[in-house]
Amino acid sequence: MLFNPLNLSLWRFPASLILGLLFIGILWLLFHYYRQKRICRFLTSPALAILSSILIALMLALEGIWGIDLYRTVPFIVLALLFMTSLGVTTIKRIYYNPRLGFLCNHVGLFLIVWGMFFGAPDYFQAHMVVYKNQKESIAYSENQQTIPLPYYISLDNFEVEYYDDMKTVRQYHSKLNIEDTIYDICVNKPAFHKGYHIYQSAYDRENENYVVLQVVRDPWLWVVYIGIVMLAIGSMLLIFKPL
Amino acid sequence: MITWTEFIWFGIASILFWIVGALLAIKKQTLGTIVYGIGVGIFMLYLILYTIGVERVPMRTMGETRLWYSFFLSSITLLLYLRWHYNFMLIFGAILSTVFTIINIAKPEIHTTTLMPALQSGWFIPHVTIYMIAYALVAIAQILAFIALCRKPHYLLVADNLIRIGSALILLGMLMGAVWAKQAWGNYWAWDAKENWAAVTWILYISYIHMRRYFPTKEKLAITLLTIAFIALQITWYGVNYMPAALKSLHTYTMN
Repeated sequence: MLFNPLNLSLWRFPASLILGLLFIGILWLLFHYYRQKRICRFLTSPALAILSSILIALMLALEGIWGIDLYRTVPFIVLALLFMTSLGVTTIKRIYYNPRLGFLCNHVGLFLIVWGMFFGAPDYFQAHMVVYKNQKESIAYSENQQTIPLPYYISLDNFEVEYYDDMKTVRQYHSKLNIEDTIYDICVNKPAFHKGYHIYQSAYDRENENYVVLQVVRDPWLWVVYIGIVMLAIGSMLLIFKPL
Repeated sequence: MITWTEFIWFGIASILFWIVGALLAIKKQTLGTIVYGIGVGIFMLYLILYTIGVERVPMRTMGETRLWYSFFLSSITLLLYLRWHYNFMLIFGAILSTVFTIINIAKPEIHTTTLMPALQSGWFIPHVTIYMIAYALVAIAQILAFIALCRKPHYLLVADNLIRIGSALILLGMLMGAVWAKQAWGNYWAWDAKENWAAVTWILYISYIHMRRYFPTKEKLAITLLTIAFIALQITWYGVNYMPAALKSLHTYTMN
């Protein structure tokens, strides 16, 4: 029971965004009004930071050994909240006192990534759709075989498979898609982006090359995570070039 | 045309230069450094020729990443030696690079010249290179930490610097991997076994950095943590292929 994956669909936008902002607001108020109190000293202690990080590492290691999905279970969510609280309050403390560029890039960046992954999880959506050559399609299928209509039709104008010299090993496969009169040439590692959806080349008809399987992904929180990634990248560069 | 079969000659030549150079450096610093440097140069030459020979960047298989690991171990130890002049630096560089070169001669695990579609990306080279440099740095730091434990505590400070740079590089490698995964598979994090172990490794290394900063007197505990981090790194790199979770991992490229 405790280790059953949770169903997150209840917490979709706008609930996800409200909860996420509420979480940051609570952390900020907590520090602002109780910074001298025991609770804030506990939450900003390095011991808690290290301990909660190592506990998260332990859970990820369990996942990494047996491939079980712990990340959607209650213990992992509680641990992630504890970690975010410790990281968040510590970062707010440093914004008030002694702010340094390197520290802020690394800690705000990491917070944004974890926060975006955590509160954005209910809004992440991915599905697959099959499109035949010279036909159009707008229905995608989610993992549990629910049908999901996209807000537009995708038609497959052309499809090509490139082989290596041995004529057996696939080098790359390209689809030419037409979405609302815009042409996209997609292949593996080069998705298209149209009105909030990323469209990926996922698989194809290996026998007759008649149809392709596209993966459709919507992740409205992606930019939050990307801001975090850029901040962490700057922060780690500052760490590398910090004089010895 | 240089292929894998020629590696044995380049490998043996590099090993000879590394070992002779490292031993020479104890008595004659400049000469030893030059000889060791020639070993690094021969190895680099092979990497360049092999890359031209297979017509792709050789970073796909286990054996190929070991090539880069040997190269970075030997070149980074050379740079660190030039910076600090610790004699053991070249000796460790020589031993570690030799071990990985011999493994590659005995068990190459390299064979095809093709690159699957998911790996054809501009992120491929920086992602793998940065990880291999980081792995080499933290391996050297690990040895320094063990020496610090036995007799020379000040070595731990050098180890701390290497860990700081190494874990920053591990993070950069992971961030690149995340952006690349979004491009290739649709999500920056898939809770895949290899990804989880990469995160575990990074978390343990930054925990070590925080421990050293806020609990500087707990040296033994810190070194224990560092050792666990190093074990996690080995699992991330190759151990994960032998875990039950590997069966559904996206990241096992050598088993087709």
